Amino acid sequence: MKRAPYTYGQDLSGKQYWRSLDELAETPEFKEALEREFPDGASELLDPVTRRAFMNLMGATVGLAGLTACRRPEEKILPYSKRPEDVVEGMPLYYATAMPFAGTAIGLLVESHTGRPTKIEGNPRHADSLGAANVYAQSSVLDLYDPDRLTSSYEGKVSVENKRTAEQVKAALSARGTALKGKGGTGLAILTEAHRSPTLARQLDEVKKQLPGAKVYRWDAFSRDNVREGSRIAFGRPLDVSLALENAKVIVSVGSDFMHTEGSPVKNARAFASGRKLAEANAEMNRLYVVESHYTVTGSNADHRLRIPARDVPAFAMALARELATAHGVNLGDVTGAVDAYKPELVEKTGKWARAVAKDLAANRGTSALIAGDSLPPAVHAVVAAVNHALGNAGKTVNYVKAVDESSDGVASISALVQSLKAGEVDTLLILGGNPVFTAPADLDFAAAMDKAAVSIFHGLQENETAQKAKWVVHASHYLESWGDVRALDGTASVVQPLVAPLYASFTELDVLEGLLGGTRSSHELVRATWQAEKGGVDFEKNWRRALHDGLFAGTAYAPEAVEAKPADVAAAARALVVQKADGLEVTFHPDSHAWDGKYANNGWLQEMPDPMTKLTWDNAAFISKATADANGLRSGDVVTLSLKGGGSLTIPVLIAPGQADDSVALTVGQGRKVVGGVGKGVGFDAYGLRKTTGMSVVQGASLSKTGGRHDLAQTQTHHVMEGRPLVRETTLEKYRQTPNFAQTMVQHPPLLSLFDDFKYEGHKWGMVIDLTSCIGCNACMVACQAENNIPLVGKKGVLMSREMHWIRVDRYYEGDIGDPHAVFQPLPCQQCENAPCEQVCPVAATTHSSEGLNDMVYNRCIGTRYCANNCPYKVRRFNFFNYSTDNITNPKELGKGPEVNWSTTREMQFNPNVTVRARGVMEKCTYCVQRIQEAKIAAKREQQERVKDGAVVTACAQTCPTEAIIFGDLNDKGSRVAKHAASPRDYGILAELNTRPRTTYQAKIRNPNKELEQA
Amino acid sequence: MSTNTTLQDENPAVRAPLVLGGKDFHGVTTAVSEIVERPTPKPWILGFLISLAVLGILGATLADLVGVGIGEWGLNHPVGWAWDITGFVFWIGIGHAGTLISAILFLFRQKWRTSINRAAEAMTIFAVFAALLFPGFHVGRIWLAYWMFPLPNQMNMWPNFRSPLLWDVFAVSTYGTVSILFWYVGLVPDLATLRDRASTKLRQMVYGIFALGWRGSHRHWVNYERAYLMLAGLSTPLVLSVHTIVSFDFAVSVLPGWHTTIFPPYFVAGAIFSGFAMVVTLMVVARAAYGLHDLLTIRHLENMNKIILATGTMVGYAYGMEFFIAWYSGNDYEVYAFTNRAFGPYAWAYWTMISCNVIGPQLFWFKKMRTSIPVMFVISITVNIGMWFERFVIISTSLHRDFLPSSWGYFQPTIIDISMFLGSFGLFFTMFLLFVRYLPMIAIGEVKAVMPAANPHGEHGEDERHTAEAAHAHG
Amino acid sequence: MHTAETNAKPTRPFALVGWFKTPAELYHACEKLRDAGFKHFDAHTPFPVHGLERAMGLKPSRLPWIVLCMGLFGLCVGFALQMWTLGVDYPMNISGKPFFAVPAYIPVAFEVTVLLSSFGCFLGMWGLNGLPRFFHPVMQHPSFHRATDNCFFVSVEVKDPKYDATRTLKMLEEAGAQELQEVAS
Repeated sequence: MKRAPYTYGQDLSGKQYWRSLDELAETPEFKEALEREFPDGASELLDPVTRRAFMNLMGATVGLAGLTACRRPEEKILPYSKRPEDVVEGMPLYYATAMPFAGTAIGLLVESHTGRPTKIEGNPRHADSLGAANVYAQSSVLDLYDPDRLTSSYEGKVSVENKRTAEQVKAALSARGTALKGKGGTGLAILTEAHRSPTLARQLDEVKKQLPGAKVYRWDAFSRDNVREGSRIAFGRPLDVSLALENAKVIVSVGSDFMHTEGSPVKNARAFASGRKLAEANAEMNRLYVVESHYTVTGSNADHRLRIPARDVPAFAMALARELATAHGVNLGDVTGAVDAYKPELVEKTGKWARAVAKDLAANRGTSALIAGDSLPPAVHAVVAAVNHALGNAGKTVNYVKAVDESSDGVASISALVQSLKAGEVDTLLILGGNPVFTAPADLDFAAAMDKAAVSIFHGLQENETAQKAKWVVHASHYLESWGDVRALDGTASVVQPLVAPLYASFTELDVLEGLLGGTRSSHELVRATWQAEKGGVDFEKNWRRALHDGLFAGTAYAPEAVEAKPADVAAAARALVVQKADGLEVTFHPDSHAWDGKYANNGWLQEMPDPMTKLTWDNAAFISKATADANGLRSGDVVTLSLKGGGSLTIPVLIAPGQADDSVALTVGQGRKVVGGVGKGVGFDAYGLRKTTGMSVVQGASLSKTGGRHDLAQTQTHHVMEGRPLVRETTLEKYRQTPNFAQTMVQHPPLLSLFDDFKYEGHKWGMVIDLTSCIGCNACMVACQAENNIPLVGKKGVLMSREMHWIRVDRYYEGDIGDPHAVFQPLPCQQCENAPCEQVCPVAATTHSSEGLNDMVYNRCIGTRYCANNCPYKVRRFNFFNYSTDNITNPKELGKGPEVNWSTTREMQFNPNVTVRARGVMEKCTYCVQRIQEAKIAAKREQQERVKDGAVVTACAQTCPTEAIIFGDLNDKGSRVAKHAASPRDYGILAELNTRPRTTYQAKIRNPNKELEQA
Repeated sequence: MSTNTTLQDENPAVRAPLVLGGKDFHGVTTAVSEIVERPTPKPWILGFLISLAVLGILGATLADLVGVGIGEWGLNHPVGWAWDITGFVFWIGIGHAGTLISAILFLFRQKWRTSINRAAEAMTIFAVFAALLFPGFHVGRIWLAYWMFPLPNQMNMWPNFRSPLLWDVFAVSTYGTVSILFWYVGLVPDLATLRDRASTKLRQMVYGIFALGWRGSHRHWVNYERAYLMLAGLSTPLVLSVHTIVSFDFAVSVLPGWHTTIFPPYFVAGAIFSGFAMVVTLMVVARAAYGLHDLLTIRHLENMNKIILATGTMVGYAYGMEFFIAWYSGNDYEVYAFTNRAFGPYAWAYWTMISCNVIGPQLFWFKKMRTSIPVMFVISITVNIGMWFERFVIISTSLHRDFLPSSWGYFQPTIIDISMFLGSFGLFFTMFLLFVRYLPMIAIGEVKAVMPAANPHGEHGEDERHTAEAAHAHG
Repeated sequence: MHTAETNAKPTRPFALVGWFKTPAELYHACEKLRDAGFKHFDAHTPFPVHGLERAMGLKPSRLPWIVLCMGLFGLCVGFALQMWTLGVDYPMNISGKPFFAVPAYIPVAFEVTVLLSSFGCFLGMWGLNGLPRFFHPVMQHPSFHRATDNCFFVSVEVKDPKYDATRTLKMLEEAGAQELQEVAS
C-alpha cells in the first residue's frame, strides 16, 4: 500500500505482528470477544471488612509509638523532647537491612521519614541486590502497615476476649518450656519456614541442646531441596547453585525462571542484562535459550524459547547431555550411557533444538551455563551439574556453594512432621511463620494433623488459615521492625536491622524461642552474640557497626566449592529417573505473581500489579494455550472444573495465555485465601487443593470441563499486538551491526519544523532513556513508583473499568504465531514531551513546562476536565475518578471503588511526605520524581556545586530496576550516562513523528538469535 | 386579500402566502395571543408535569455527580470524554437552528421565517442552557470550575487562552447572552400587544414591565429595526464561530479521528441539520396542539425540510471525505481510526449514524415526503438520534483506540450517564413548555409585517401614485 | 372615561391623536404632515410600516456608530487581556508555544468583540428610544391599546409651531383619521 507522505520502513526484525487473539482467528465470537473488553460493572466488589474500624483505632494508638522510631540498641521509645541522634524532621534517613526472600536474601536500604520506613531501595553493596530490588521487596513495606496485621497475641481464636499481653505470652511460653524440659523436650515439634538466619539456627540448636527430644521441621511451598539433592548426587555433598551469568556467553535454562522467581533473581537479571549492554554496534551479546511449558519472565527474554509440556522438560535436559557427549565429545563418563535412551527427537521438534543448543554450549566451554528449574527432579539437576562440570562452567558461570544448612525444607520434612503428628508424638507444635494449613500438600491434610497436637502455637504476621487452627496465636514482627540476620544464596550475611520499633509490641522468631527457653535476651542481643562468636575479637564493635552501616559482613560470601563429579552416581540417578508420560492434560504449579505462596495475598500493591505476562490483576486463573482452549471450546473468562485422575478438583476461570504449552495447564498457588484481610478476601482461587506430595510441580492426567459460568478477569492490557506500529523497535544483533540506526530510520516523516523558536533549556535538561534490550518486564519499576509517589489503588472493579492509576506501566506486546509468540516489553512513564500536547489544551494551565523541561502537573490548580488525558498520545495521564485515597475508608459507599488499603491510620504512615496525596477530580501522572530532583538540587546548592552531578538524582523506577534498563539524568551534561545513551544510534522516541519531542526515549531492542534455529 | 391556496400552489410563479385562512391583522393578533390568554389546557399540564419529573431525575443525577464524583459515569482511561461532551455538542448543535432562522434567514430576507423564528430562538436559548449542564458538571472539581474565567486572584493565575476548551467558555457564554438579547428585542412589541390586551391587572403589570412601555412609535421602530438588523448581523458570524470553536475542541488535538481540518464546516452543517430537525419536531407538535395551521403552513415546514435535506447531504459528504482523507494521508493511525469507526467495536453506533443522518433525509427529495407531516415528524426525530450518535462516534471511537494499543479500552455508559442525558431533556422541555404557555410563540408584529395588507402601497395602483407624490414632495 | 377626565382638566393638551384603518392611509397622512412642515409628530403602528420613515422625513438611526465603537473596544479588550495575562503578567511555557501566540488568541478576541457590540446595540437602542418609559401621554387615547393590534395611530404634538388645533384636526380628518382628540400631557 502506498504510504506517502510518511510511512514505516521495512521492519528489520522481519516479524509479522498478529492482531489480538480473537482477531487473528477470525472467530464468530469476535464481537463478543471485543465486548469482553466491556469494563462492565457486573464484577464482584472487594467486600468491606467489619473489623476495620477497630483495627484503625489500634493502628492509631500504636501508630504514635511508630512515630518515634529509633534504632538504638536499647530499643527504648524516645519522645522527640530527646531527639534521637541523626533525626532531622523533613530529612529522610537510610538504614541498611535485608529481606529474606525465596531461598535467598535481598540487601536493602530503607528510606525512613521521622522514624517511619516509607520506601525500600536495593543495597548497592549487597551481592543479591546491587542496588536493585524486585516487586516483592518493594511492596514489603506495605505489609508493615497492613491494617489487617495481627496487633496482639491471642489464646485461642482471634477475638477481643482472647487478647493476651506480651507478658502473658512470655509467661505462657516459659511455662510451656519448663513443662517440656521436664520430659526432655519430647513432644515438641518446631516448624519454621525455609529460613537462612544463622541466629535462628543457633537458637534452634540451643533448643535441641536444652530439649533433646525436640524435633525441628521446615516447610516452604517452593523448596530448593531438589537443587541441593542434585548436587549431592553429582558431587557428593548438598551444594547450592549460585549463578555468575555475567561470565556467560551462552545461557540455557531448562525450566528455570532464574530472572524472576528462582535462585537470586535480582542478581541473575543484572548479570544477564550486563551481558547484553550494547555500548557500540560491534559489541558482543550473550544468548539465552529457554525450554519451558509456562511463559515466564525468563522465557520472554530468551533469544530462543522452546515451548514443550513440563513433562518433557527433563527428557530434553537428558537429550541435551546425550547430544553433548556423543556429538561434541564432552566427557560425561557413565552418564553418557545413562542418557543414551533420550534421543534428541524423543520429544516433538526438540531434535533440531537439542543439536543446535548442544553445539552452542560445546563451542563456549567455560563461558556457558546450563540451568535447571528448582522443581525438576534431583536426577536432572545431577545431570545438569555433571554437564556444567564437564563443560568447565562450574566455578566460572555456575558456582556450587555451601548450602546454609542441609536439612530439607520440602515435602520430606513436612511429611515427617505430619507423620509424627498423626502418630500423636507431638503435644506442642510451634509454628514459626508461614501458613502450612494453607500451603502444605493437600494429601497430607495438615489441618487435621495439627489438631492432634495438644498445644499448637502459631507465630505470624497475619491471621491466616493456620492461625485459625492454633491454640495460641503470637503476633510476629515484620522484618522492618525486628532484629535478625540472614545469609544470601551465596552466603553473604546481613544483619536484619529494624527501621522502627515494633508497631504492636510484637515478637520475632528469636523472641519466641528465647521465651520458650525461659531466657530474657532480646533479639538484638542474640544476633550480636551470634556475630560476636563469628567475628569476635577486639574490633568486633567496629565490624558490627560497619555491618549495620553497610548492610552486610564483608567477606562472608562462600567461596565456590572445588567439586569432583561422581559420574557413576549421576548415571544411576539418571537411569532411575521416571519421565512422566502424556495422559490427558498436565497441570503445573507456580508461585502466584501477586500473592507468591499466599503470604502476600493481603498486599494491595501486589494484587493490583499486573502479572508480567498475562497482565492479570486481582486474580489467578488456569493458563491454557489457544489450541487447548479451542479443543475444549473455551474463551478467556470461562469457568471450568479442573479435575485430576488421582482425585481432587478445582473450579477456576481459564485465561488464554499465548506461549503456554499445548495440553498443559499452568496454575498459580497462593490466591484464594479463606482467612485473610480485607484486600485478599475473595480474590482468586485456591489451587493448593490439587497439589499433592506425588505431584508438587507437574502432574498428568487432568481434565477440563466447562461449567458454563463466566468470571471477569481484570487485565490492565486487553489488546496484545502492536498493529504493525513502530512502538517497540527491534532487530537481530547481526542486522543491527549492519544498520545501527535502523530504529531512527524506521519511520519516515516530513521534517519536524516549527513556526517559532523553540524554548532554550540552559540549566538542567532532565531526560530518561529506557533500554528495551535490558528490560525484562519484571514490573519492579511500577511498584517502586507506586511506593514513591503515593499512588492509590482502584481495586478489581477499577481495573475492569480500566481506571488503574500506575504512573509507569510496562506494556507487553506479542508477535508471531499466537500459540508460540515472542513477547516484548516497553515500560511507559510520562514521556515529558517538550511540545506536550496535554499542556496546550488545559483551560486552567494546570500542566505547564518547567524551565528544566519537566511537564509539571499542578494538582491544586487542576479542575479535572480530562482534556489533557484525551490529548496525550501515550495515554499516561491518570484521573482520580473518586477520592481513591480516602473515601473508601471514610465513605462506605466508596467501598470497592478503591480497596481499603488506600487509607488507614497505619497505611498513612507509609506515605511519602514529599508527594501530595491527590484528591478526587484531579489528574495525575509521572513527574520524573520531581521531589527527588528538588532534593538533589537543594543538596547541590548546600554543597556549593554549580549544578547537580550526574547520578545524584535517580527516579524511583530507575533506582530499583534490576537490569539498569532505565537511565535518568541531565541531557545538558554531555558527560552524563543519559546524554551518552541518548546519543546512541539505537535511540528513538515513540510517536516522535507527531513532533511531541519526547524527553523519554528508548533504545531499540536487540536480540541475538542462533542462525541454525532461525530458519525454522 | 383572502387567497385560494390550491391555486397558488399550482402556480410556481406566485409564492404561496405565509398567512392563510383569510386572517387580517386582528385575526393574527388573536390567533397568537389567545394561546397565552385562554385557560391552561389539560394536555399542557400533563406535559409539564412529565417534564418536571424528568427534571427531577436531572437534579438527583447532578447531586450524585457532585457528591460522589464523576466516576459514577462510565468514563475510563482511554475514554476521558463520552456522553458528557456528546450531550454538550448535541444541544449546542440544536441551538444553532434558532439563530440561523432568526438571523441568517432574516438577512436573506426570507419572509417565511417570521412564523417560526420566535419559537426557534426560544429553542436556541433553552438548548444552550441544556448544553451548559454538561461541560459544567463534567469537570472533576466543579466547585473550582470558575477558574476557567479570567478573574484576578492573589496567585496571578490566569486561564490558558490557548485551550480550545477556554474558547468554548467564551464562545458559548457569548452565544447564550446574544441569543437572549436578540430574542428579547424581538419579544418587546408582542409583549406590548399582550399588555394592551391584558384582561387582569397582574398580566398588565407583568407584561407591561417587560414591554418597557413600548408604544409602537415609528421613531422607535426606526432604531429598533436597525438594532434588529445589526443583532442579526452579529449573530450570524457568532453562530458560525460557536460551532467552529466547538469543533476546535477536537480539531486542535493530535488524536486520529479528531485532528481534522474539515471539522468546522462539517460541525456547522451538522448543527444546522440537527437544529432544523428539532424545530420541525417541535413545530409539528405545536401546530397540531394549537391549531396554527394558518400561520405555520405546510410551506414553512417544507422549506425547513429542504434545508434538512441539504445539510444532511453535506454531513454525508463530510463522512465520506473523512475516510478519503484518512486513506489519502497514508497515515496508518488515521487509516486505522476510521476503519475502526466503521468496522470496529463501535460499528453499530457508526451505522446507526449513517442510516439516520445520510439515508433517512434523502426521502425529502420527493415533494410528497417533504410535505407529509407524519414522514417529516419521524425523520426529524431520527435525524436527531443520528446526530447524537455522530458526536458519540467522533468522541468515543477516536478515544477508545488511539496510538498505543496497550492502552486501548472500551466505554460503556452507566445509569448515571443515561439519567444525565435524559434529564437534560427534562430541563429543555420544562423551559419550552413555560415559554409556549406564557409568551407569544409566534412573532405577531413580524407576521403582520409580511402580510400583503401591511404594504402601504399594496392596493392596486398605489405604487405609481406614491412615486408621483414622492416626486412632487421632493420637487 | 379616562380621557374624558383628563380633557376636563384645564391643562394644555399634549398632542392630537387619531388613527387610520390601513398603513396606506397613515403613510399618506404622514407625507402630508411632513410636506406641511410638521416636525413634532409621530406614528404608532403594530409593526414597522415599510418606508414610513421616509414619509415622516426622519433621519437614519445613529445606532450603528455606537455599535462600531463598542465592537472596536471589545476587540482591543479581548486581545489586551490575553496578551497581558499570558505574555506579561504570568508567562508560562505551554507546549513550547510562544508567549504571544496571536493565532490562538483570535477566537476569544472575536467573541469579546461580538459580545460588547451586542450590548452596545441592545442598550444603545433603548437609550436612543428613551425606553423604558412606562407612561406616555398618547397612551391616554381611548383606543390606543389597538396601536399594538390593528390600528395605525398618528399623533401631532401641540408644541409643534405648525400646530393649529382646528386646521390640523381638519387636515387629518381629510386624510381619514378617526377618533381624533387631544390628549393631556
